[in-house]
Amino acid sequence: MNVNNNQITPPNWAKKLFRLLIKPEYLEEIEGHMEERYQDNLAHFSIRKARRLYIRDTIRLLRPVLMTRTGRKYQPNGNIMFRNHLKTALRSFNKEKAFTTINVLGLSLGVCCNLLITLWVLDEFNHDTFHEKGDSIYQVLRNQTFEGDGGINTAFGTSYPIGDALIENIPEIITQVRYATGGTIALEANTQLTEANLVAADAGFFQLFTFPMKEGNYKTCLSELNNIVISAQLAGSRFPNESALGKVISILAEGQKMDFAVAGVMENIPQNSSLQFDIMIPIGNFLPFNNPNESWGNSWLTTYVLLEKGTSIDLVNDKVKDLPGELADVNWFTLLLHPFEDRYLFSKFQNGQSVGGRIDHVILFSIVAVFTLIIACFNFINLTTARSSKRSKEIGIKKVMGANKSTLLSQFMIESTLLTTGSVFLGILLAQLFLPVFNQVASKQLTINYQNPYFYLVLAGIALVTVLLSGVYPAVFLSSFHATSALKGRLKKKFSTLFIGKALVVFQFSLSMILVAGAIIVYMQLSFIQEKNLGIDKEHVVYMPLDIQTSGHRKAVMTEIEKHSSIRSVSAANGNFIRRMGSTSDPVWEGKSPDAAQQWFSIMDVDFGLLEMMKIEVMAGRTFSPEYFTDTLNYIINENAAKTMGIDNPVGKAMKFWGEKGGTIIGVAKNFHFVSLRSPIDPIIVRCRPERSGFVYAKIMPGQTKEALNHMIDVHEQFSTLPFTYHFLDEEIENGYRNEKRTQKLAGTFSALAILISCLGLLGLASFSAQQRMKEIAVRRILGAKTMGLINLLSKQYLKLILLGVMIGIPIAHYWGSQWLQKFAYSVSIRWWIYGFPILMILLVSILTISRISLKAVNTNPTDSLKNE
Amino acid sequence: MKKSRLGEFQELILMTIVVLKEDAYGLGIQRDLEERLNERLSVGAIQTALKRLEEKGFLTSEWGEATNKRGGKRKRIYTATPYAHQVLREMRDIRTQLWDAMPNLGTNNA
Repeated sequence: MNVNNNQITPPNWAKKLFRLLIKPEYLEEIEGHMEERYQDNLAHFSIRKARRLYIRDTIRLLRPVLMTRTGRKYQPNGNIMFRNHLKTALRSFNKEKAFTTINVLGLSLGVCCNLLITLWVLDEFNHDTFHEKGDSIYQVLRNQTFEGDGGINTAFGTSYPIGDALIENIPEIITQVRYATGGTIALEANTQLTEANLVAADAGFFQLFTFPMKEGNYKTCLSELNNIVISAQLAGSRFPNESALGKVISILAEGQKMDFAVAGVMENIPQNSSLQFDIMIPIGNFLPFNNPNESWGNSWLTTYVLLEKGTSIDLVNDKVKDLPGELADVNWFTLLLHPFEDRYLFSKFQNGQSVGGRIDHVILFSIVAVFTLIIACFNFINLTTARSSKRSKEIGIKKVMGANKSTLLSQFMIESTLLTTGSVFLGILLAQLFLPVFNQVASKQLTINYQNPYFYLVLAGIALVTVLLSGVYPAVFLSSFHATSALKGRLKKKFSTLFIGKALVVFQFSLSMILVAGAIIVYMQLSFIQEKNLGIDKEHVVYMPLDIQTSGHRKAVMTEIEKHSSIRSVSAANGNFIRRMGSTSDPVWEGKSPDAAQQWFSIMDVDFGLLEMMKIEVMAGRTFSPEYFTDTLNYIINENAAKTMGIDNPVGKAMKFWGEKGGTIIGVAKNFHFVSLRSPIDPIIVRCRPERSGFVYAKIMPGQTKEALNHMIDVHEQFSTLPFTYHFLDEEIENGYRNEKRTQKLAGTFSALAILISCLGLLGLASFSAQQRMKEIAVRRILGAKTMGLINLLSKQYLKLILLGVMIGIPIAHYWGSQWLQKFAYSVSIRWWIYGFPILMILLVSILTISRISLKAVNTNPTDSLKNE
Repeated sequence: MKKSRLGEFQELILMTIVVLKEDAYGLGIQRDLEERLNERLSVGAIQTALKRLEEKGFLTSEWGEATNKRGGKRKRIYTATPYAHQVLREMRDIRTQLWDAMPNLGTNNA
């Protein structure tokens, strides 16, 4: 129509303006009037003047008489239209079942993930929140400075005198409660033996922490030394149908049997408490086992204090800090008060400052949750708008017949709202379904509490975001089609949609790349850890702790066990090879310089033959041997200990510590991993103390595990009536990596999810573009293009996007991967194929997705695409 | 009396419409009146007056043909109603009587 130069016609915007504002029924006449006037003016004046006059007239046109009255248009009956829209919506879903299913599934998957992660995050924040005085309770920590190191190590263990010292010297500290764990012990109740988790605490424990008492007085239940508080579950199972108060319970530990009288039964401790135990006795009972108790350096318990309400913690911390120095002349650590409620999430310290801890994971997962939902919503939008061309005829006709924009808008809003609400419900269903699996992986007991009003709040939030985000845009987009173009089949090519779609594909694929590469790295590191030569032979080794009955017959038990053919060798040690045993800086040795900096050693006690069983190589000197009966006074050190000591030939040098007589270093052992591969190897001193080696180790012939265990049970029962406990060394070591295993599983799952969602996004984008180019494809077909060539043509642009995404993902994955690996003292190195494999996999999956779309597009009969021209 | 409801401008337009007969459409009226008054008028003023007059029942209108000149838009042709004629006559009558009563102002008239 407008072949003329733009300058000769009246200004378009002015026209648009009065078109917008003038009453529609006057519009034709007035527009014509303006046009003719303009032509008139053109004849008499210059073009510029004519345009100016036009504009002036336009402005003068805007008088109330002529203007449109907003909103007073003819509205169809709301109710009837709603029912019609519903019908139309359902019909359109039915017509495209596959598409609708994929779309809904994708969105509900996003909702499900989001919900699960939200539950997890909420649970994490909910730990330890039930204590009434919670915000005034603090845990006492120690900041230790090591001269050699120069760094500050924050320790959670405190010594006995600290609590009282705090109360006496700091007025703002009202009470203190000491708390120590006793581990799993055997107890006898109502003539039956069972195991329980034992802790000990000061009498004020239940006044500080809110663990409600079912029976008994919470103030006095720990006042007598032989009082014991048990959990409701224990009471119920040991003393059913009667009150447990006053009943006698015997604890069998440390080679003794001690009687206690039940003074309180407490409600079972909720799962979200970081303090967990079955039975509690007054802490006085532990004192004899932990001498010297006046020593400020003997840290075997935790101390909790209660501050006056409203006290400034910084003020108190200032006062508390140098107490050890002031009161006990102890200068190698200072005290720090840490909020109890932060204990669960903020336990990481660096240089004496709280720098986070578990909270970092929580934040990470929160971000993941938000992202998952957003991506799912965007995919939904993409897929929906991609199918829009199929609706264009319908929209065009409706508009021509007089439907106004708001009617169409409400139609599409109803459609998208139906879909999105459906997805939300499906998402909840999926979440409920996957909850058990998720709980297992995350080792929690999350539930969807349908009673809890909070749940509905959270749900409403998620639903609202989803519906708004995913529903509004497609509705607006669809209702804004230009009637005639829509009927002609020409779609409004919104450039921005395409761009967002492309950007999203790139983003999703880089995310997938990161996740898959990350999962591979985690997997490799885990396998490495488990298979790396620890320096000890951990295969087929069972260890059993001696209980109070068998420990009296240690030698006999060991001899008996060895008799069986399935047992290769038997020995003993004072613990599990994984857990850190006490460390000390006491040792002095021949050649130690008098003003040397403090050096710390871990101490291990073993029986003869253990080092050989574990295949710990003694490089210099010799191992312990029964031939040398003075060996019980001698020591073997590991390489790192020798290095720390700084003497060249340690063999033969004298050494002593802990007030003992002292002996000679008879051998140097090759370094072996004491604790997890996360930490460097400690300097270790090994003593030969068969009588202190309370754990019997047995090496089993491979393949005869069952017989060996049965035999051991038999032997145990000969000497003890208590239950038989045993552990496999390699299992215990693996358990130490439980966290990593969980991360591995999660990473694997999320990678798969990410790829799935990315492909959904890709699907949407590819469909959209394929539709846009239907005519082009048709014409090319007619002109003789081959199928392969066309598929190539279509796919090229996506492959570019995917490669871009992958390229972005690689450096990020590499950075994070190396950071994570640094946490381990020993780690795998990153090879090129760690990135190559994910790239290949991603490309494969995406090619499959694209080719499906392309194939469908290419195989359409060209006449179908072109017949409407 | 309905004199208060018909302003001067509206009266002028009404009379122009009667004069122009079948050429009485928006722009035609505007041109004619501009020439007689010797001043520029705005489209808005004209259109507003037309609509008001139509509302008050002084005019009827109908679609004419579309011309290319107007960009394909049709003209609307206005016609004065009998009622309008009557009102116009009444107003002239009143004016005449007033002029008659005025002493020696300007030239003669009858």
